[in-house]
Amino acid sequence: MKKIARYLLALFIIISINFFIPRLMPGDPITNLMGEDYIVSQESIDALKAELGLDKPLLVQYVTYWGDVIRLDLGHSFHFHTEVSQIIASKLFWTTALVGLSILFGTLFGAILGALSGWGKNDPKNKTLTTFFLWIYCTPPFFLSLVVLYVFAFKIGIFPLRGFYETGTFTDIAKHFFLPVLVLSLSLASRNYMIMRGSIIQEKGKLYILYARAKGLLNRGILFRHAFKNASLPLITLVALDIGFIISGALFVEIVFSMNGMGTLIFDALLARDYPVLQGIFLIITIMVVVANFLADIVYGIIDPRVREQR
Amino acid sequence: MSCLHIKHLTVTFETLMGTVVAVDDVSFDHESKETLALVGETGCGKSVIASSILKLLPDNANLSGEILYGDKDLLRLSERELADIRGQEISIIFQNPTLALNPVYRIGDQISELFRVHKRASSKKSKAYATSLLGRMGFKDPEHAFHMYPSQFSEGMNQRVLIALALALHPKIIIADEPTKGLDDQLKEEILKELMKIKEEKESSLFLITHDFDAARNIADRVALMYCGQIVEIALSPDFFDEPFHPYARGLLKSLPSHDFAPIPGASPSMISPPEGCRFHPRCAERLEVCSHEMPEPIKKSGRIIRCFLYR
Ligand SMILES: Nc1ncnc2c1ncn2[C@@H]1O[C@H](COP(=O)(O)OP(=O)(O)OP(=O)(O)O)[C@@H](O)[C@H]1O
Ligand code: SF4
Ligand SMILES: [Mg+2]
Repeated sequence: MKKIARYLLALFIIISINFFIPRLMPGDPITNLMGEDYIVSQESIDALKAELGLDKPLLVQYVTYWGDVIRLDLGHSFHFHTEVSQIIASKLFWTTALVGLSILFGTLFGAILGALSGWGKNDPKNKTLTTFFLWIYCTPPFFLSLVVLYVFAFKIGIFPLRGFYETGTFTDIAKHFFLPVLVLSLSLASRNYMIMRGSIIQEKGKLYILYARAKGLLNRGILFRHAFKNASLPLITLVALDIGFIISGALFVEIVFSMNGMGTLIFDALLARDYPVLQGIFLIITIMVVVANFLADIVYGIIDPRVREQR
Repeated sequence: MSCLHIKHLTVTFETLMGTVVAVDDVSFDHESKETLALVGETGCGKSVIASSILKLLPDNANLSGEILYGDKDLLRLSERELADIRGQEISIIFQNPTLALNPVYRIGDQISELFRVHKRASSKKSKAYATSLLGRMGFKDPEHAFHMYPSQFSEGMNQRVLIALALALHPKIIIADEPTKGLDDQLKEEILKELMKIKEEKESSLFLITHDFDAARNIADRVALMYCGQIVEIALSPDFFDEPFHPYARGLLKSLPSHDFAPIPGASPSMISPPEGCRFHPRCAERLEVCSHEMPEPIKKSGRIIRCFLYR
C-alpha cells in the first residue's frame, strides 16, 4: 500500500515537472510552442495565448493542465499538424514492441546463459561465452546496430536496410524487426549475463544449495529449482532500474534502423524544435519507466516473501 | 550389525595458507539403530566427517579411504547413485536450519520436494505427505505452516522442519550436526526428545555431532572423541563418562562446569602443521618419551578404541 502511494507521488511530481519546465524555459512560449517554421503577428500570438489559456494565472493553468493530462490531451503539434497524443500513440506501439521483445529475449537468454556459466566450472566454453558478452557489453547499442546493419543488410543483404512500414505484412514487419531486436536483446543479454553469472556464483556457496544436494537433488535440479530464483532477484531490480537506459538505447537503435518509432519521432521533433511533441514524449517515457518499476516491484514481491512482508 | 564402516578416512583441503588436514586416518563403525555421538572441540573436523559420508564437500577437498555402506563405497559412487541415497537412505540435519532452507520457497514445498524427487509422488500426494509430516512435528496448524516461509519461522521451528525432512523417508542413518546449537535449553531438550522418539520408531541409526556433553551422556549409546582430525577414543557412553581413558578425554571432562572447571592448558593445535608424534602431546600431562616423535595408532582395549601410548 505504502509502495503504491509512493509510485503515485512519483507520477504526480513527474507530471507537475512536465508542466513547469516549459514555463520556466527562456523565450516566448508561443514561439516555443509553434516551432520556428512559423512567423506570426502579435495579434495572432495574443489570440493563441488566450486560446491556450496562457494569459490566465499559473494556478488556473495548472488545474487545466491536469484536466488535459487525464483526458490524454497533450496539446497540438504545429509541425506535424495533429494532436500530440495521436502522433505518440501511433509510434508508441512500435517502440513498446521493440523494447518489450528485447527485454523478453535479452533477459531470458542472458539469465539462463549466465546461470549456466556461473554454475559450471570456468572451462574454455564458459570463458569464451563470457568474453563474447563482455565484448557486447562494452559496445554501445547504436554502434552495434551500425555493425550489424553493415554486415547483414549491406554486405550479406539478407535483411532490409530501411523502409519500415506499419502496413506491411507480418513477415515484412518481422524482417524489419529482426535485426533491431537482435541488437537490443544482445546488449541487454550481455548485462544480464554478467549479473546472473556473478549472482549465481554467490548463491553457489550458500548452505541451502548444499542442503538441496543433501536432499538428493541433482546438479541441474539444484540450479533451476533453487539457485536460479534467488539469483534472479538482483536481476529484476537491475532491469527495472535500467528501463530508462533501455528505452533510450532503443531510441538510438530505431534511428539507425530507420524504424517507425519514438526514436525517429524524437529525432524529427528535435530538428523541428517541436516542443509539444518532445514534452509529450518526455511525459510518456517517464510514465513508462515508473510503470515498469512498479511491475518489477510486484514481480519481486511475488518471488521474495521477505519483500512482501515489508509492505 | 553395523551399517556404516569408515576405514582410514583422510580429508585434506588445499587452501592459500597450505594444506589443511581436517580428518586424519579416521576409522570407525556405525552400528544400525545405535546413537553414536561425535564430540570434540571446534574445528577438529567433526562436520567434515559428516559431510564426507554424503560427499558434500567443496571442490578443494581431497578424500581418501573408504566409507562402506552395505556393499557400496560411498566415496566411489557417481553423483546420480549418491543422489538416490542422499535424503532417502542417509539424511543430514545441518546446524544452521534457517540458512539451510531456501528463503524463497514455502516450507511445505521444500518438504514436498523430497517425496517428488525420491518417490516421484504427484504434487497433490506429496503435499498431503508434507502436511501430515508437519502435523507430526508438532505444528498446531499444519496447513498454515505449509504456506509459511523460513523467514517467518523461528530458528526452533525451522530446526523442526529440518528434522521432519531428515526423518520423512525413514532413512537408515540420520546425521545430525549440532541440531540444537543456538537453541535455548528447553527447546534443546524438546528437539532432542522428538528426534530420539522418531528415530526409535523408524529404527534408524543416529550419528550425532555435538558440543553438548550432557546430551551425549543422555542419549548416546557410544561416544567418539575427536582431537585435531583424529578419533582418539571410542567407548560406550556410560564407560566414557564414568572413566575416560584418553588424557584428552579426562582433561575435557574435568574442564566441564559440573566438574572442576579446570581448562586443559595450552591452545588447540594448527590443522595445517599439526604437532609431530601424538597430536595431543604438547598439552598432555602424562606424556611419555615416545609421544613427541611417534604417532600412536588406534588399538582395541577393554571394549574401547583408543589412540594413546599409555594403553599399549
Ligand atoms: N572448505 C574448507 N576449506 C578449507 N578448510 C576447511 C574447509 N572446511 C573445513 N575446513 C577446516 O577443516 C577443519 C575442520 O572443520 P570442521 O568444520 O569439520 O570442524 P568442526 O569440528 O565441525 O567444528 P565446529 O564444532 O566449530 O563445527 C577446520 O580447521 C576448518 O578450518
Ligand atoms: S600418546 Fe602420549 S601424549 Fe598422547 S595422549 Fe597418550 S600419553 Fe598423552
Ligand atoms: Mg561443525
